[in-house]
Amino acid sequence: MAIWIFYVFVFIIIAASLLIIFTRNVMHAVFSTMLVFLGIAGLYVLMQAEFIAATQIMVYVGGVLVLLIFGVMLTTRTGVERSISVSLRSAGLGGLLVTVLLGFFCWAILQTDFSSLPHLAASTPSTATTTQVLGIRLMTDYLLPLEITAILLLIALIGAAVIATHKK
Amino acid sequence: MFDEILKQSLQESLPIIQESIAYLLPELILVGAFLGIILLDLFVKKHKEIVFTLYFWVALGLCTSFLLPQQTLQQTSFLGTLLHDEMAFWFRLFLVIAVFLTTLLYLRSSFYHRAPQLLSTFYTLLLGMLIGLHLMVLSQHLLLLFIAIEVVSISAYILATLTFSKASTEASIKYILFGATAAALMLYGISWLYGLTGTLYFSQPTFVATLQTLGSPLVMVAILLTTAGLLFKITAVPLHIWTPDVYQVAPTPIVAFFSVAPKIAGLAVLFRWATAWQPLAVSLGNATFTFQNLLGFVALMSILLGNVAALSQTNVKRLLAYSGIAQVGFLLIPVVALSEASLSILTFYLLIYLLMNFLAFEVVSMVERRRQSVTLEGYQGLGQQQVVLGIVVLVAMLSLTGLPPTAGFTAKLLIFSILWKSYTLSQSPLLLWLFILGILNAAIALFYYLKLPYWMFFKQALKPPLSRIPWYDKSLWLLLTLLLLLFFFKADWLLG
Repeated sequence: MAIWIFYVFVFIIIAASLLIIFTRNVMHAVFSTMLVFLGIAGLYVLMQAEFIAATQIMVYVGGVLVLLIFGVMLTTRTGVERSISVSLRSAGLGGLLVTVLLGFFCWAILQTDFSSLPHLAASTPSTATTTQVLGIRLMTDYLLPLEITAILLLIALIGAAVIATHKK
Repeated sequence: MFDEILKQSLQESLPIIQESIAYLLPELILVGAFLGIILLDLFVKKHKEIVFTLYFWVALGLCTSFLLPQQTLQQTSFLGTLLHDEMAFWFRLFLVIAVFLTTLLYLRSSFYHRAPQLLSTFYTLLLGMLIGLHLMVLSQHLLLLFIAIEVVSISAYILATLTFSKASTEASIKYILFGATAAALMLYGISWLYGLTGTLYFSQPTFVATLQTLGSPLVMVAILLTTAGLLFKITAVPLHIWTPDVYQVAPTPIVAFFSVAPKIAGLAVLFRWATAWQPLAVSLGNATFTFQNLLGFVALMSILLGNVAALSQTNVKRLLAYSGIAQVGFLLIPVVALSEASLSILTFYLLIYLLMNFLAFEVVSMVERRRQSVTLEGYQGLGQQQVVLGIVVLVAMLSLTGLPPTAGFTAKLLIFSILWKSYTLSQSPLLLWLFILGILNAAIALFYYLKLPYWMFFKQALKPPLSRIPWYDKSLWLLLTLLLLLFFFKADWLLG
């Protein structure tokens, strides 16, 4: 049963991703992005990572996407609907490259025997909830990455301010 | 209801983390200075140049003073996330020196004189980048490594766009797009490695053992993708495409920093990976994939492409960009030919590379400011007018080529000797090719590196002649030049 729900979400993600790539309307692309984010949140739920699923929806759908819509609405010029143009040659070359790479990746994945991985066999389900484990891990093993992420965001914020407030 | 096992693990790990903080003091100083400079910017309205520069130098000095006692340290901290060892010590010291030289270059550059209001922004972002670079050198954990690389990248994107010209916007967009793609590839690779091994600590023996027993082509794909992000940062082929465009338009002091610092940190990471993943060999039909082979191929392509593309350049910043790509190929050789001597040779080459590259950019920045030119024409006859300048450029270029009597020669000699030794041990044809083409390319490099001294000495001097060069410019150049000559004669001072 779970595997079918998985396929449903995967189908949503792939279809929406293809739509993002092939649509010429920026607004359609933005709304397809929402579908991708929701589909990924669904996959997290299936993997019993409910905390990340909720975060995914709050941050990406609630924050990033709204910002994206604002950005598109504020920068789109009226009358220019087809703002994304792709030349046939680069599309062909890109398509060829993607097909070759995809084939190679699929081949590499099919060659792998995942059931032999020791850490997958050894893992036992924890009785604690994900949120508890996450909180403790963030304050111990992942303390440094967490703090550095704060600096990363601060630098990005400074950069945005510098670029946005620059006057010619 | 709190899980008992979790509670116990928390009680075990918290004291370790508290003890670890002491080891991270140099970086914590930088973080403090980074936050402080943002606040300082709100209050200081007068004498900005002196206040901010002094503040910055004091921060660097404090960082160094806490760094120096760590020379003989061999210690993991933060539950194995960081490793403090001798390599981490030297490489972080070089990074601090590079930042210091960048500030010296910045204060005398045309970029600063055209936009002095960007002073505090420049220092803030430079500090941010330094924090990221330090953590890259220390990291033993793939997630932390990725975040550190992103800290470096995001600072770099902003620094590169600071001239706010049309060309710089275009170059920055290119830089961001390439950078984001490289980061995405790297993250995808890391996610595979994590999925396959169940751990993010790449130096753990179980990490490489699991990959080895799996032995599938997927391991190769994962490593390839993970390495891509780093190759982007160290401007190695095939992820070098952004380099000349960004170097051409970004402010010169920033380019000087870009051309050295990310390479130091990136090579530190590659060295750690190479040491940890040395036992790994994945057989693909007849061929065998190893991390060393991958890097050897990258080194070979970087040397070839960098040198060939540099030949036709007339813009000196572009020329140095391609030169940097070729130099990365040479810098990768000690990692490819991994042995006990590798680390000291890599450290030596990096220090020499830092000195000679900054010397070259010092001159580029000076000519850019006085002649408003970064093309070879701007250098016409400068060597006749200013003999000191001519000699300085000659030494820098000889050193970049790898000719005696400069330390660049010693560095190249060491690199080729370790490569030959490694070839005689392994008989790998890749190493032989690397050896032959490396030497051939050192000869090709002569043509474009000597272009600059040629234009300076043998072309008709331009009017009006260059005004007098201040003593502080000259003394800094002579200091760097003397160091390059000194380390040729006394290379064993550094190699010990």
